[in-house]
Amino acid sequence: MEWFRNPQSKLETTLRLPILIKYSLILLVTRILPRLFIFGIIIYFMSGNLWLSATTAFLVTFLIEMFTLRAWLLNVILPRHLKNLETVRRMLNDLDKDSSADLIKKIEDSVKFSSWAIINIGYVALPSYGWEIIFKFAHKLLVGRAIPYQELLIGFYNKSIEADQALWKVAQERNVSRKSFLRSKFLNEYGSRVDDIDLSKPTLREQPQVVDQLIQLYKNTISPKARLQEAAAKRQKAEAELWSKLFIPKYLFLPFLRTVQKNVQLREDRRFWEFLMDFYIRQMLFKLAVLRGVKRQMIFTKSWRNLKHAATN
Amino acid sequence: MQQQIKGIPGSAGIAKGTAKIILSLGEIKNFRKGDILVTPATSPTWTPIIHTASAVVTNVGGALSHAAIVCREYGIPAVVGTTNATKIIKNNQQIQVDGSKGIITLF
Repeated sequence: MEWFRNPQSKLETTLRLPILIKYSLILLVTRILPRLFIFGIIIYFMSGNLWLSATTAFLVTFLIEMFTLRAWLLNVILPRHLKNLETVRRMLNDLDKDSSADLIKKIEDSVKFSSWAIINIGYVALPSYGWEIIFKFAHKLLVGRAIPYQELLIGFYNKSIEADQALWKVAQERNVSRKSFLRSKFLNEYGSRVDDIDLSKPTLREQPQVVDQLIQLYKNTISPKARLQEAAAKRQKAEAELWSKLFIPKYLFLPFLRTVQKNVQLREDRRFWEFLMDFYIRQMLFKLAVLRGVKRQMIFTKSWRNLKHAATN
Repeated sequence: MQQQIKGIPGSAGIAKGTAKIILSLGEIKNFRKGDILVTPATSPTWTPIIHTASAVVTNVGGALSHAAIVCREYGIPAVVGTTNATKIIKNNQQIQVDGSKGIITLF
């Protein structure tokens, strides 16, 4: 398990975790179960077999989600998430004037937005990893082992490469004021990345010494974009080879391959979008720590209920 | 006989170099371009380090883990899911990473 490397902080388990669980249940009840139920009923009326209707409904729902979740993310979830992010950003404007009670309200609202995003964007892991798993087996059946299937899925732009390229540009800049401008721009756009699902973990933009060391590391290296182009060339070569070894006509396989390629790109993007609010929530928590006379990092060792109780009484 | 650690092949290729055990981002001051990154796991924050590494070794993860996916994009050999590479490999030790076979050789 890549995430949850350490036990989560008390604040995370008492503030965001319960809301994450709530939104998981909402997703299950409003999106997944209705589909399973409708398909199950239809197939049951057609077949009269409960076991068959249950398994077929599960398969149909799974396939529909695999084909539709990417569009759902891009057209429904992301626009709403970015709008929510703007709302959370605006909450920081009057932070100095806020009372403890105001801050409690702002933190709870922001954490709700953040949890909604983590669950809904997280659900898109289903097609982004699912398609690769399906492709791995289909590829073996239809092409054999001649071409490693992973070579067909590399060389696509994603948020991590975009961020790395922006950092690389900062490292190559020689003009001091321009470098400083690019550095700030990089942190504003890509600095919200975190190491784990835990509000106690600092975001990249809160670790200036790390950012400077990364910039140092990036001097005189090949650009991430150039590396991506190498990967894209490798993929194109693999595709050309694929068509000569395929057991079925190209026109049947091509739409499948493109669907898989489009969905696997979401793996890195998804993680970028999920934690965009953490930096802002942390700033509100630090402000609350100041108002309550608690040391900055100590606030993450408190339970939300206790903090809220102390702040509102 | 040289000691070997087995893991899951994450990204194809072979690289030999100096292992750097990095447990958190705060430790990257010890990392130099071309070093082999040995870490419990990676997340999107780590991609700039991966880009400058000659190979990556992780304790956890599989072929679909973050480290494996990013290493394939960047064409860097990776062995993932070794369970305890950060404990067995010593800092600055010379190692060889075979990302195709999932084997790390310690010198």
